[in-house]
Amino acid sequence: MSDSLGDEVQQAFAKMTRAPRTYLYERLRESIWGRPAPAVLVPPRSAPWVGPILNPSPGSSRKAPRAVLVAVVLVITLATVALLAGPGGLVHQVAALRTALTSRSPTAATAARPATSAAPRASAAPAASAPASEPSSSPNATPAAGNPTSQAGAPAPLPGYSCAGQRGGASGQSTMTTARGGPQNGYDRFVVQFSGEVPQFEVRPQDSAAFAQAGLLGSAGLTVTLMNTTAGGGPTDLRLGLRMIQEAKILSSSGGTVQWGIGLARASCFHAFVLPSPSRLVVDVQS
Amino acid sequence: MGRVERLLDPAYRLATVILLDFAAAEDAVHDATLEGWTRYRRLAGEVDDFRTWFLAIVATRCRRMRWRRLLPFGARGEEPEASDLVSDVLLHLRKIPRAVLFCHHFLSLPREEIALVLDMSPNQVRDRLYSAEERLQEELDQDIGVTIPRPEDSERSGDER
Repeated sequence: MSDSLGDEVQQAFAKMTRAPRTYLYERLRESIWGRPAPAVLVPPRSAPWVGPILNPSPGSSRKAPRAVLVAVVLVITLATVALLAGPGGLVHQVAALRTALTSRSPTAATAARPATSAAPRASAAPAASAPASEPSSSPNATPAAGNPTSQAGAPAPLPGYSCAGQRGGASGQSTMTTARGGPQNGYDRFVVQFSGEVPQFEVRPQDSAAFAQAGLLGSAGLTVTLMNTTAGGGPTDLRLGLRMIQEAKILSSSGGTVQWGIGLARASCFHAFVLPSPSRLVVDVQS
Repeated sequence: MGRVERLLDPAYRLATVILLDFAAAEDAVHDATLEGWTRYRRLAGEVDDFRTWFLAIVATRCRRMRWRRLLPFGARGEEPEASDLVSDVLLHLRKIPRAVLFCHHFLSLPREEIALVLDMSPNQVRDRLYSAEERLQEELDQDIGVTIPRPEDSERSGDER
């Protein structure tokens, strides 16, 4: 077929079809947000592939679905009720102040002070359950104790995420075929693919990106150690420049052990897990 | 991450080319997107080529809808119209050759990717593309109007693909 006819065919298809209406985007958003999430094999998150139209960011001007609005109004109402009626709340403070002004005695005026100082703690009453008031003893904080430096400045870990070292995999011999990385909504993903089973692995946080004299990009890092593995192919240095993962590089490959270094923009919690068909080790770094 | 957002346009056009009905194409893309969303979560986002994967879901959904639309009930939406001889010939081609031409000339997909999208072998894609282009060239050379039977007629005889 000549090029001119190819162009004519292309133009004919352009005239024959048309771009989707805005209604289709609206309909999809309603359908996806209005349905319960299906069973997932990984930690549940919002649909990261849907994009800003179907999954608008908080700054988006598109309308939020009704369920979200109802939830927001409910939370605000509960917080207001707790602020006004809770122990040491505004109602009690006003009553104490009125008592103090009425009696005009110094003891009554000072008696109102403890109520005032208790206000901030009581203002978070509905959500302030016992674990929240003691963050250092909460289960989420436990992994951080093993690696306090990596936790500094990092956000609270999502479900399935931890700031401590993680390990897993099978005991067999395997060959690494390729590696890749990419941005996702709320995390960056690094994937190593194998021809056999995913071998024994260990992912450990590092204080800086310059560990093992690798000189990786970033200010913090992770080491991914793969036991009983040979490097069969794929890239050896990925300069990804993502929000969290700046660079991933093979630090060493000898004696059946391959070690990857991941340079991070800052210390963050991560989640290492295995996916089958093809066998992959996935490291999600929370952003 | 506007992966689906970027693909809705080609997906909707592909569905229109297969179904020849704008409203049905919207339904197909809508259903395919929901199906893809469910599958994507199950796969934990690990999809090698997202465009091919998503367009294949759309094409499969269209094929299922196409069979249903052969039944003599149900409302039909607005159909694409021919604006010139080329589009007239394209509209009267069978759905698979038309879809192959669309994927090759409009979406500029390589043959291997077309094969995955339309669930065919690369050799079949090559043959369909060659025969469709030859047929199109013949029609244009003759310039005597459309001589290809309407796709509905050919599909009722069960010789599609």
